[in-house]
Amino acid sequence: MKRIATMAAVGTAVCALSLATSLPAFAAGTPTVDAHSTLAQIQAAASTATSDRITSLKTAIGKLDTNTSLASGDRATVLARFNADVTAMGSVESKIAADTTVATALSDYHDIFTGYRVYAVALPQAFEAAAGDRLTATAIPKLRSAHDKLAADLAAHPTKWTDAMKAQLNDMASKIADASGHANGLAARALAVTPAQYNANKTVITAIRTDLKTAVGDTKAAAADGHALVTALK
Amino acid sequence: MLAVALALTGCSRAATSGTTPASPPSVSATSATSGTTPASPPSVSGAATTAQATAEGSATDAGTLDGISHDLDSADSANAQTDADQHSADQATATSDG
Repeated sequence: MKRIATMAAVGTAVCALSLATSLPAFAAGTPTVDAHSTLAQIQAAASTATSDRITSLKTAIGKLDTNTSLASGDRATVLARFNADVTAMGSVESKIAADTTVATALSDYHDIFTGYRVYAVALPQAFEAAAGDRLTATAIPKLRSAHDKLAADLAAHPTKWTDAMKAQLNDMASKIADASGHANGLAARALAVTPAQYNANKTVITAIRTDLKTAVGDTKAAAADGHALVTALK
Repeated sequence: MLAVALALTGCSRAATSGTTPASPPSVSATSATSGTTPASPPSVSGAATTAQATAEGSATDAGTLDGISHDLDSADSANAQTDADQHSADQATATSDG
């Protein structure tokens, strides 16, 4: 029993190490501060935390500039939010640098996280919106188009279609409908999440992510059905 | 009678070659008796019907299949980019300390 417990502990440690090493340096390098920290320690931690976020936001801005997934309206929303967060991070960092008490600096330091949720909300919601827009604007319409052409072929050449092929076409339609149900409105839902909502309920992002993964799985399955039918028809 | 024989010969070739004739061969009592060419092809009957059904059964043309494949490839490409977006979102969340 003790051996099992030891092995489990080792396994946990290995997993924790793996997770830690897979994270970017800024996560591991963010100093932890609390009420026992000195003003200088808090200011140093704040400088690291804000500069990490500014770097991540600017990298994301670069990515989204070339991301063709986002609808133009959503792109404008995301870029405005990112730029506002970049400015805010600079302001918070400056304020903390000028703070003269631990209590004020600590309060401002916490605001870096709870006030903006750059990593928990701002960055993921932008890419979730991009994925949602890509599904509704491109993937699903293209799959519908392919399905309709296949259905037209079935109507024109029914003797060519086996029962298995007809079932696969029905499955394709079902998967497209399911994907559409999960993807419709997803981008708007993702972009509507605020740091305050996340602070109150950390699963608010989880439901959106689950819908996104389901929709992506459905569109891939529908595409696989379509490819199989094309192969069968050749 | 000669017209019927020639027309049926044409049908037989189409049926055995498995190709879709450019225009359906015309076989009808009208053309056989009158010896005139109808303005529009009348419906095919008898052995010719079987030949046409076979041709229709395999007649999903390459253009249609290409169109479907193009749609599916576009969907695949969109899905791949969606995966990349999801990965970016996952990365941000995984590194999150807020």
